[in-house]
Amino acid sequence: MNKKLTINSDTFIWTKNKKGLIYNSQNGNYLLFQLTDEIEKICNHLNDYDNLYNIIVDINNLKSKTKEFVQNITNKKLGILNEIDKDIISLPPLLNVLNDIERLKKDKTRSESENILKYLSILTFYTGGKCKYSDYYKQTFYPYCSDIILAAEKIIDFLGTIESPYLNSINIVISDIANYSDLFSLTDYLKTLHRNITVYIHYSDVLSNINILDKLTIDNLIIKIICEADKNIKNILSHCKGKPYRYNFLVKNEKEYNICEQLAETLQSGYYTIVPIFDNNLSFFENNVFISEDDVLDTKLNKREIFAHQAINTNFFGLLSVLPDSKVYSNVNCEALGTINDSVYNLILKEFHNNYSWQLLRNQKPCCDCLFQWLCPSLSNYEFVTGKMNLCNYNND
Amino acid sequence: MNIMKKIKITGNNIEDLLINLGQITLEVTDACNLKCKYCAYGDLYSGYDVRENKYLSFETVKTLIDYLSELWKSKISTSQIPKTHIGFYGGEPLMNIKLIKKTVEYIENLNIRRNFAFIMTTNAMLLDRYMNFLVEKKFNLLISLDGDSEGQSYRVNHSGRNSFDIVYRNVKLLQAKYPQYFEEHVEFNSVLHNRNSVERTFTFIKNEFAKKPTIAELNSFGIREDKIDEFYATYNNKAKSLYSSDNCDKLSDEMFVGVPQTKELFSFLKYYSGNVFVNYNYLLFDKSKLKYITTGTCSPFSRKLFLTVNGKIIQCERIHHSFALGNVENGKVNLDFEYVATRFNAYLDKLYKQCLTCFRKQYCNQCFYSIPGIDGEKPTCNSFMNKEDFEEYKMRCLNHLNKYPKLYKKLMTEAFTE
Repeated sequence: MNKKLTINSDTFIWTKNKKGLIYNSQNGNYLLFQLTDEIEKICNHLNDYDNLYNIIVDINNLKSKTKEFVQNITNKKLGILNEIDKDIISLPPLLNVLNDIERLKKDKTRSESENILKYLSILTFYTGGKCKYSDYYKQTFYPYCSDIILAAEKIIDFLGTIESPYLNSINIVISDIANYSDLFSLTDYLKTLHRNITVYIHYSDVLSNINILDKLTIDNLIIKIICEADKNIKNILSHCKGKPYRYNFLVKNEKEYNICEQLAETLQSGYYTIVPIFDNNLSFFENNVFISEDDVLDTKLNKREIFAHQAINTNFFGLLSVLPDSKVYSNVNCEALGTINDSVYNLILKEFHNNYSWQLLRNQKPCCDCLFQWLCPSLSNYEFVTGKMNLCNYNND
Repeated sequence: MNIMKKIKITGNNIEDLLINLGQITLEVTDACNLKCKYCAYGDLYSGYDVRENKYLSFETVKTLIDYLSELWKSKISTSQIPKTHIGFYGGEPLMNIKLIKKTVEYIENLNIRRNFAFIMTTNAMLLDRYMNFLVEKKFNLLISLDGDSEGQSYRVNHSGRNSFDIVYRNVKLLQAKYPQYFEEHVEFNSVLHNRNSVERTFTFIKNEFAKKPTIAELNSFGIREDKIDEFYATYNNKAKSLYSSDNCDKLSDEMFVGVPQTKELFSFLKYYSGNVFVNYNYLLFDKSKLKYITTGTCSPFSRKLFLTVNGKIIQCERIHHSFALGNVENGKVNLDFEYVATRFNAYLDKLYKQCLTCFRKQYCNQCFYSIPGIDGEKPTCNSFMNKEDFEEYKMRCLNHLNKYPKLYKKLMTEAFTE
């Protein structure tokens, strides 16, 4: 008996290494299956866009595993079975970005005239200064220690060249707040920009500079205090009680996690974030940061979010960072795009041409062999610092 | 769920749009060496300034360019080197070649960080005289040619003589003399009417010039009441003409989005498939939660600025001249950004109630300047869709796809029009 099997429009079909996954991005329903020859043929037919997610199947003559596969598809509402003469149109997910970067790259005059400033959404400046912190800035907002200081004047000049409504956040990570002489001229300027401005400061700088922080708070800036679990942290938090600061708790092991979690209980929800830090602590990461198959499937991504994973790195896209030596990066773990003296257009264009991070996808080994390739979060800084491109417990074998 | 919010454009938006202006179209003359029967400025239509064989003065153009240059210099644009196309429009623009040459020279000597490119729509009657200049300046040419001699027979000179022989000869000359330029910079536009057909026109231009013409139906807006019968006697429906051809499938494949149904399907896929994104930013947030303006009308100057031969500033050459937003007069540009925004918003307000219940409100394609009686108290939008209308539109698109399933992949991977 011939029937027409039609897969729902918002449903993805992925096959890798004799395994398959059908994932409905509208409701998160999914089907994991082994790829027999007959099932593989069906999947290949369905994945041919010209067939518009339709296939005629002879239900009675299918092998038992294939029959079960088809039943599972309909039971899980991933598709429907209909009479063969019924016209049902389904549109398989197929991404079309009208202003695709590949076309932009090919046309020089277009790349010059293209409104690429719209892609810049977050700028982070590391002021630098004398300090003895670790190099955690490669993983999260964290002070950068240097003899050179990124002068406020330079930051202001650079921002003056960027007139874009798409730039919505500016972060200033200060290493040595007491000696950053132009801080108030910088913040006076920043508040005229009407963007989200966040100033990051290390907790060890807080007590001796509480007056400065109070002044910044009046200016409607968001103050984020980068905290590490040590004996002073409790004391600092009690001094800051009642102040509208937010906190990033950096944790490297379970013990630190527990301390921070306890401290965080006294804080308003939404005012703190716990940030895992990699520092030769792979087992902590394996147990607490790595994701599992269940984590991925429980996340329930919609079609747009899956497309985003296929086209851009959702962690890095739109971000530029400036280190104290004036060098500009799309990601501080990669090569510099240029300096603060370059035109911001050229910096963005260079990122599109070199693809250091904005379009860094999970399209390389081992992720390209994985069924969950596009469901997994985009690559993060943790992949850079651990040197491991898949932070997961999933075994592809 | 899509939430329709009443949003308005502001004077600042208008200024931003002018800073990033992509095209200035100059009506360099209203004179023409042809008298095409169906001309939008001819007997069949009303709604344009009376044609008086006027020639736009260089002073007027210079005043506008200087005004815009000051604006461009004073503000930062959103691209590295913005590009503005300067379009020359008529009448027949080549009849005012003096102005065109002067304008090109002036623009080339502007000390400004901006790229310019020149475009022109021409009937090619004077092409033999001026092609060297056009080629030297790399003009993108859109040549009006309605196909073979019979197809061209509404495009007559003032004595009523078919222009085909002269146009054909001139275009062939250009093709022979400058083959690379011809390949890269020349396109054709054909008007469909009762003396040609999609197949004949397309095939003729493809065979003769190795180009795929854009084929347009007669403009159905602004027809004079007393000329309606004459209009419909001349009118030819593009889809009907295409589907009545012997080679319909092959032709459809070649014309791709030039086929009305395919164009409509692409528009449907673009807006309703959830697979098409204007740029990468749209991948990062849920667009349905964004505010949007409920009109298919371009915001003023978002695409172009049109300067008429009488110095009127209009947002597009396809709009009735009474919708002028400002003018260039006595060496001065009169353009009040707040007024432009307020006027635009007033039309939005007028249609708001209809838009609220329209099923196509989020992706409207109706230019409100083309709505009959838009200046009256209660204009009725002719693109309004209730639920049934929308379902019908959806089914029409999907049925076309069902008939030509290979179009899906082709449209999604090869069609990029914004």
